[in-house]
Amino acid sequence: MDRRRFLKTTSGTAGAGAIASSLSCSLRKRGTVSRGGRREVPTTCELCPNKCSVVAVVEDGVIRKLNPNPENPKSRGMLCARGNAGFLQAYDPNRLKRPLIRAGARGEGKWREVSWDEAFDYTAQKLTAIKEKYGPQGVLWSSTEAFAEIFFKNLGLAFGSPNIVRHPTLCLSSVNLAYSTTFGTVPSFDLLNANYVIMAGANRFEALITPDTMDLIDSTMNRKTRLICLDPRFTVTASKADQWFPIKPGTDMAFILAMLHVVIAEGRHDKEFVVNYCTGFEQLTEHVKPYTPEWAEKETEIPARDIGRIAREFSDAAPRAVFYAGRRSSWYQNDFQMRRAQAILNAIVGNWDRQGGMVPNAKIALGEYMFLPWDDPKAPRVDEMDKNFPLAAQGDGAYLKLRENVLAGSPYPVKGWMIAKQDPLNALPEQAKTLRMIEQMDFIAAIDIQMSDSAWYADVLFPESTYLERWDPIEVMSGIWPVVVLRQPVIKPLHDTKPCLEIVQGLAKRLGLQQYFDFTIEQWNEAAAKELPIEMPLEYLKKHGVFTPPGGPKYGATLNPEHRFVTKSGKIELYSERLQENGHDPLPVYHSRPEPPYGKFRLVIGRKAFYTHANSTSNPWLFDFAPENRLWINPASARSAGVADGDQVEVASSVGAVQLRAKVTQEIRPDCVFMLHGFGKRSPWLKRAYNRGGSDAALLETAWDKVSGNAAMHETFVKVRKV
Amino acid sequence: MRMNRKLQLVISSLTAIVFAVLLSMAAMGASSPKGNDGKGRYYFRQTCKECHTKGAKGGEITPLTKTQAQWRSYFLKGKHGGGSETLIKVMADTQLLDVQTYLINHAADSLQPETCGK
Amino acid sequence: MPDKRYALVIDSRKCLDCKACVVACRAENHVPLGYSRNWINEEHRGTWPKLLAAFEPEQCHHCTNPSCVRVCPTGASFQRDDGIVLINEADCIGCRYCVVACPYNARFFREDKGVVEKCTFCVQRVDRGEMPACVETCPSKARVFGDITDPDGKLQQLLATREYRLKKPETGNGPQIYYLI
Repeated sequence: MDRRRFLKTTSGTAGAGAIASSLSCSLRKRGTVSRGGRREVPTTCELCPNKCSVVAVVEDGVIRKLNPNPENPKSRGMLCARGNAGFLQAYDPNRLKRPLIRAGARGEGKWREVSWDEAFDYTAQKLTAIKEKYGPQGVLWSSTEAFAEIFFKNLGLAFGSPNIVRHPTLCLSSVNLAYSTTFGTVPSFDLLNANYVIMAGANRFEALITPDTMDLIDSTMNRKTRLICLDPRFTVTASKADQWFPIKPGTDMAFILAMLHVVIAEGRHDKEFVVNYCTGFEQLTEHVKPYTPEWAEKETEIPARDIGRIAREFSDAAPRAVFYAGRRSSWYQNDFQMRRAQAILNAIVGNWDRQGGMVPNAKIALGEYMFLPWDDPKAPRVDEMDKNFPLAAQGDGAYLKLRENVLAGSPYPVKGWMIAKQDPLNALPEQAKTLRMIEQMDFIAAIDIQMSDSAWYADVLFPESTYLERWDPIEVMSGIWPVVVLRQPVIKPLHDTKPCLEIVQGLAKRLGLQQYFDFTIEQWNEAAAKELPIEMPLEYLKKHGVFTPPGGPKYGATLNPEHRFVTKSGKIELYSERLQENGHDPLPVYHSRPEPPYGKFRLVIGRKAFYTHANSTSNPWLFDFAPENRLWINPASARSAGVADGDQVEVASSVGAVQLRAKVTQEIRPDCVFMLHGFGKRSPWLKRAYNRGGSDAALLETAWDKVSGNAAMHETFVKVRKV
Repeated sequence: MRMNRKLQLVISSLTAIVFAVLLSMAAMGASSPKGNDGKGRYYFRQTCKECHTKGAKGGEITPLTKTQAQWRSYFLKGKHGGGSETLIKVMADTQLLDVQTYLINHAADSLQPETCGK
Repeated sequence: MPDKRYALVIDSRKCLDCKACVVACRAENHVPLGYSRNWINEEHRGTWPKLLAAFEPEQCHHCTNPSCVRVCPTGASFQRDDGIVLINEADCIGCRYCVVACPYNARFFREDKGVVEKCTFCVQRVDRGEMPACVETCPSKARVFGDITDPDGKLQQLLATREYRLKKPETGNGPQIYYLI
């Protein structure tokens, strides 16, 4: 019986087969429509990196609803729970409403409301003092992806600091680096048209609801795409998959290497593609000889015959077959190499630049507001990227290594910390170390919309206007069918807040750096929009929220002998000389991960679509679904730990301990425990989330992937006991 | 005081030689030349892009047009416009060093891993 | 046979329990926390590692023969010609007979207003030619809304080619949410 059809049937006609159920979109009047005080304003969501297009409905000056904007071909009229609840950010009574300067001890929570001038003057004075004593490299500038992030980052660079650190090494830098190393670029996965999808550890139906989710659920349920899910947990993705295997954590690479072995041994690879576009196939063939399915079964606990069968089905379905890379952070210290194995597998079945495969992102050329930039910083980076991670994106830094060096004061001290749109106390593993890093700073300032845990420890707080109250740079969302999106104010700022650019300009003026920020957001966007192939592009974007170039998704642009991949050889590099030259395995070599010792469990973390990251923490409508996180534990493991469902338990690692309630469930392997990320908040201003559940950041040990510096988040073993 | 024409010629040749030496020193280094990548990008777009976009008279040129070795060789030769003039005629020498740095850093075979956002 | 009858066809296989529909409804219809006009039923079964999980969206079924309308003493609960079952708040005395009468627990009493409330198929949107909020926002596009009497319409198309089930049809209420199997 189809495992998805177990709900008892009581009536209905015999089915002849499913037909595509496409939903007719509502007719929607675009632009501003006055209907008794009702306006509709198109803009772009900011609750996650997918930037779906929304239309805000304003009645009598108050945002009432966010509706999906059907004009965006990627988000296609969807809006997830977080997107729907996003406007509550603006109306949060506990949000940051005016600049604050710390009045008591750091972390005490005493604040003085101040004018913008005073906040700017004080900050500039402190930064200048640090610059004079330690050099501009003494100030760290950390931020997370945002349309306006470029302004904050540029302020740090103009200040003369090389220490710009961004989020990728807390997120998917190992994916980006592995695919860049192999293909010279990071492609998009055409889930809408794939016929066979292997999803390992990625939880696209649950962790984050994105247009990829929409593509995959559509293809899986309507076009009968086969979905294979590998995960130590029975997630929503696992429940929808055609097959789910509770793979032993840390063994994904073994699975992939065995697939490579079968595909090559049985000649199931795309021979023409490999000959025309790839290098290193001979070395690869030799390399995967020992990695048989029988060997992999011992590592992964997945039967050899299933591994072999999946390899055959995968190659049969190719080029419309993908091994999905996933987005989230690394789990283990060799995840770069695991993603490399993925990339190599995808390459040899020839799904590159084909419909249903992996497609290099098309872009749209935007103009640019040009100005002569600053001199290069004189000092080297404090995380010594060129020595430690020479192959990684240097400008992003490696966050955990950076923290180690800052704590050690070596190669030099870093005493100032400027934070924008980031909550390092929760974003970085081993919270205790982040707290020590905070303690040793002479000065910390944060740009935020709420009193996050990290903001709570700052010396100056700059309240940013929420995404619904400000202009942002227009942006290209590159992809298989790229679009340009606009974010415009839906309402005027409700409080004394400013957009990031104006905060940066205020600081720049006092630091003598105003010439690098001598423009308005209008001028910036005018310059960007100038190159778009439409009349009055900004007016168009203001009315529609998104510009979609005609022609639809395109495939195959790189599939010609003239095309040079941005790699050393100009070809897709199965074998990577660059890796070898830098002392890394040029082809992925499998090493078993250590297993949890008796009495301990591997801590696995993850996300839930309506409660992901700092943005949703105190949102009342989202909080309502998950007021606390629980520790998932298998019944057998619970018995041995003396824990019953609902018990308050203490979870302890080598670096911290938290308390939360247990959820005894069949839906997780006995050797793992699981908790949702983002709970156990420390900031009392986050009234709902304060002290609810347990913080994974407090438990996770510091570990990173060797090649990319990506935080490895599943290497921590924990003890569980009832309290 | 008006300079002797002969002297002018000597000075400009010397400048060209010094500059060529500087560039070749930079070019021979296995690592990136020591100019400013960001400024190089600015100068490239301000000056070069006028003629080197799609449909314009110089034909489209981006950093990906050549490999690192090809860019190094190009700047070593120091010629422009199919050999009709020297590069110094197009741009000041310090700017040229920045442009060379930018082009080599983002060349067709350079190490430029992609990242999320900017 | 009425000229028009609005109904919902839901493909529960596609439901991911993402709660987008619940939040969209809350925003569109100003439903305060503590109450919900729509919800997702969950079922988890099996023992490790043979496991099943399923999710099923539900709300008022806007029945053809609604018991809630029958029991209302004031006529506050009524049904439009197009099938949408509504509550006229001005006439509602909060007796809650209808809450008891509904086989689906779709109705609830608003303590703060003293009246009963439920899903209205976003009648304010439907009358503007738009889709209900839950239908529009669903990332899985699991919901199809429209006129079930239309022989050329999407709903009849789906029901002609797919197996479906109704919830508690034995009550005789004639529920109008069709769950594709």
